[in-house]
Amino acid sequence: MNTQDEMADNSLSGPNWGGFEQLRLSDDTNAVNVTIGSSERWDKAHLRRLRQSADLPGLVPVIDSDFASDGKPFAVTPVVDSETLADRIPPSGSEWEDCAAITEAAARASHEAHLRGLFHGALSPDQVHVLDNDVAVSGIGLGLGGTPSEDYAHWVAPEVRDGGDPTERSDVYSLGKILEASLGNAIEDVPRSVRRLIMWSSSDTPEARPPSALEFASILAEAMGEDRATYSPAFIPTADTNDLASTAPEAVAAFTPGEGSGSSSLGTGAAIAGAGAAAIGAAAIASSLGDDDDAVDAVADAVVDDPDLEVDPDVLADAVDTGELPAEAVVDADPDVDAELEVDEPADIEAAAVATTELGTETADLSADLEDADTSVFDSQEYSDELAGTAADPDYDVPAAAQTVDLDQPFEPERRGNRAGILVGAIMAATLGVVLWGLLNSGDDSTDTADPAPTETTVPAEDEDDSGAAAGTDGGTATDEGNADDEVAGPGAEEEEPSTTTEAPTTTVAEDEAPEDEAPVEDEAPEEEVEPAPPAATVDGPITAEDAGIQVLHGIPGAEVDVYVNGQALAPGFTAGTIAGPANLDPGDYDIELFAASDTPPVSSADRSDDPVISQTVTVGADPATLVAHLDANGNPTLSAFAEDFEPLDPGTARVQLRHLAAAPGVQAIIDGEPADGLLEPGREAVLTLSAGEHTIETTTADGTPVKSATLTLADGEVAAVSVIGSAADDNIAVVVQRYTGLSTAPAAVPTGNSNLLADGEDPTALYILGIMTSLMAIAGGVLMLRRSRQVL
Amino acid sequence: MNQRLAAGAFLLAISMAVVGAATTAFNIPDDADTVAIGSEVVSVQPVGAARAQVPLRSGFLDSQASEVDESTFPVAVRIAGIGLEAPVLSVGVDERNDFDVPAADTVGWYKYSSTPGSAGTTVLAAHVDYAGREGAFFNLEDVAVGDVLEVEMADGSIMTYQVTESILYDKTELPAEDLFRKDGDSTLQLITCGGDFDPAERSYRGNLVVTAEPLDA
Repeated sequence: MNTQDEMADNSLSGPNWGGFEQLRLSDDTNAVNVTIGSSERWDKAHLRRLRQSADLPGLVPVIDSDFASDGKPFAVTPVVDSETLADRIPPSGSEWEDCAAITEAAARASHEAHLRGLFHGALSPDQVHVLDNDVAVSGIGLGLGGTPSEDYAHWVAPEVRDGGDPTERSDVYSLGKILEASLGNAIEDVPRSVRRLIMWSSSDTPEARPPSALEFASILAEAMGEDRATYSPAFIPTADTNDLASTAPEAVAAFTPGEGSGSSSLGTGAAIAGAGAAAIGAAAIASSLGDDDDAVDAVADAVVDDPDLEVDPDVLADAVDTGELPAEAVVDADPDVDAELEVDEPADIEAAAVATTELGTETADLSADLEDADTSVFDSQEYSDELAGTAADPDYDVPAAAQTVDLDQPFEPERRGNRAGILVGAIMAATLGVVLWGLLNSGDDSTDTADPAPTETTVPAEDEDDSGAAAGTDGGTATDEGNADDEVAGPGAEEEEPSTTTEAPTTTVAEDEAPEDEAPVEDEAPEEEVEPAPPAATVDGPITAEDAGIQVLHGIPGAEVDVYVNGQALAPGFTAGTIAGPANLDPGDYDIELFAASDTPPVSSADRSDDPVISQTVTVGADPATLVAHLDANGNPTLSAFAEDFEPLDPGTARVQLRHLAAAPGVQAIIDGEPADGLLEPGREAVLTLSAGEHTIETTTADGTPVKSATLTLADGEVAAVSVIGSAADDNIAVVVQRYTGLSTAPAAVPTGNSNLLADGEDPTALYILGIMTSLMAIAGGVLMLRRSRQVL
Repeated sequence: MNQRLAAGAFLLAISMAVVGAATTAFNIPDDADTVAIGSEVVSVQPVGAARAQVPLRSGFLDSQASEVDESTFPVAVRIAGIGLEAPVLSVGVDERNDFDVPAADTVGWYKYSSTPGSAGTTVLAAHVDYAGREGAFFNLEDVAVGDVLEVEMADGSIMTYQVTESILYDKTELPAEDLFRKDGDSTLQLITCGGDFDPAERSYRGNLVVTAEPLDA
């Protein structure tokens, strides 16, 4: 998180972020950039993806993308000489709100590109163009196969710096850095959730970042509230540049990379933007003009005439004085500094281009100095410290990869209840375990026991726990457990719920009274010899929540037991890791006896000659639940019951009920690399709401020793009860998963139109084009000029 | 599924099993009765004390295949009748839990809905217009019942559908639970906007839903 260190520590080999050359083509009124891509990585599919992004609002479009006659892949993009986010950084006063809104728009635009398989890799404020109330991002998809410039290292995710391909999450990293810069010194004043978002996005571990740019935008939007400023995606018109673009293949084929290509085009831009000056224009234009004094003047004029370009003469002059910025790069950038700038070889403007090339090697130092001087970037060191402090804060909650995680909510697990209330006392023997449910047809009770499972309005029996879990949240977002049958709960409220709660098992398992009164209902005592109980059938596939009923999980590895319910044998073959059920069981008490496994277990426990290892009465409620035979923290077999949480899920989410049922001390749960708060104690569960998709759930001991890890692919609307069973001492810890489907909800709405084109023939596109045209820079000179350009994308 | 009916059938089966088991104590007959409850199959085995067996399954992760087969994801949709051929992207929901409909002329497949040909609904949505431009489904209202359309999957295979209905719903009355159905007949739902435009909300008041069924199912 230490910005300065990052800048200093990066020793990058690549000369150029994209690893590409860039040409500038221009005519009377238009200009385009031609990016020559990596021959290895820009295949047909990539070119197609680039072309398909052409019509996307919010991106500086790719006008054309193809192979030149010599096989070099290229992409043509318009030159958008607009204000950029870099021009607004650092913000003063309340400007940070706009900067944050622009960042949000950039994130949404990036998401659209990501959906299409295009990633940036080195997104930075100077590539976020601001056109009035519209935003367009440039450079997406152009960096594939390149190595990032060290000058951009601050914005580049570590895995991309190390040579990895840009990904959705690497762009999220950049967005986090951009957001950080967008806030400037207001970092102290922003909602805590915004600071957490930055911290979350800046994780060195890609998996620990928000999973998508949309997620990033969503969290930011929520943190900033309904009344925040909003920016729309900009349409950059390309019709006027098509002719120019059509000359690109020829230009690319004619282009020969110069030996000076060890410079960084982006680095130049970064340094100059960092200087707070708009020498971007100067450098770019200087490199595309001819070799004479008039050209120098043209550069100066172009810069001075553009109101968006604000040159800080002192900064530039200082930079030149110290040799950090070649004078040629800022020739006459501002009339006021004429006298201070000595142009060594004004006649050789070509030197300006070369100078800007060389600048690339010096930009890191320059940027660092500027930061010291506090002329541009806010004090990142201080902020980093604060973030570090936040991370160490015991209140630190679990970002996880959860769609519903609210980073602003302190995670305060509710530890309620007393395990003694739920566990049956300790037992002996190491054999054992298990449980069971009443037989489906306990004699004439059968009519009752076959009651259908609760239907879709299932309300889990854990109201008390929910309300407790919601305690300590703010914003009036307490869990609304009374609304289990609401079709789609208010998304906003749902998302602010704490995603993790720790719950004690809910169903009670009472201490045994001998089941003598409860003689087995089915009293047709076998006349014949006691015979072994038959093996049970198996079933595959997930269970719908609707049908979940009561299940029994054997969670004691290595133990062989015979289980009897109300005196009747449950089928043998019920081994550790096996789930029996579901069964629709009448609420009530069931007598459960566990015996050490016998080769020929009698059907009725009355026929057993040995004594039960455990004899308990289990009370089964009306709601779906799982009874688990497992080891307690001390390695003693015990019995616990957990109610399943079958609240409907928000669209695109899944729920994990993580249960620590192993003979091990409290464990630290780590979801997708991000530690949950506090330890999960033996016999307890943590309830996590995660996005549908793949997640890694690790558990470690308090000192970080791995206990067990599992990777789960969760479906939309799925509930997975993940039980960690076994014994650390016996080295047989295992993970057992029960999956339930059917809790998904549909999207709240399908927003598919905002322009009323169905009603009338008026074409609002004209307005977009008009707005953007006024921002496009007119480049001097009537001739088509081709010159290598070192220009920010 | 009618739960009561199922329960009744279940009870009947159990009763029969009990009767049948009276003389066959402890044996597992090959023809164990089976009844369906919902999507669940419960095997009812007349054993000894007329016990009904409860299914067992392994809870270990390696026994649970949950691979996502991306080759079955839809990647393009073609509706010849309105001259539409558009790429399809896999999308989820946005922060409002709304369908994250992709911009411009691209179609979004709700990645939590079914893949074409599998049980449940395959839901595709696209803009009718977007930021002043026509969206991919601008002409969806011209699709008529009986029209044929194609969906192409990532592996190049193609599903052919025939339109069975086209309905304009008020957005407040969209039958979301039916449109986003995870089981039952394989059905394709194409959704866009329609009806009156609400300038204040910059949104249409209705959703146009075109339903199609596989032709060669």
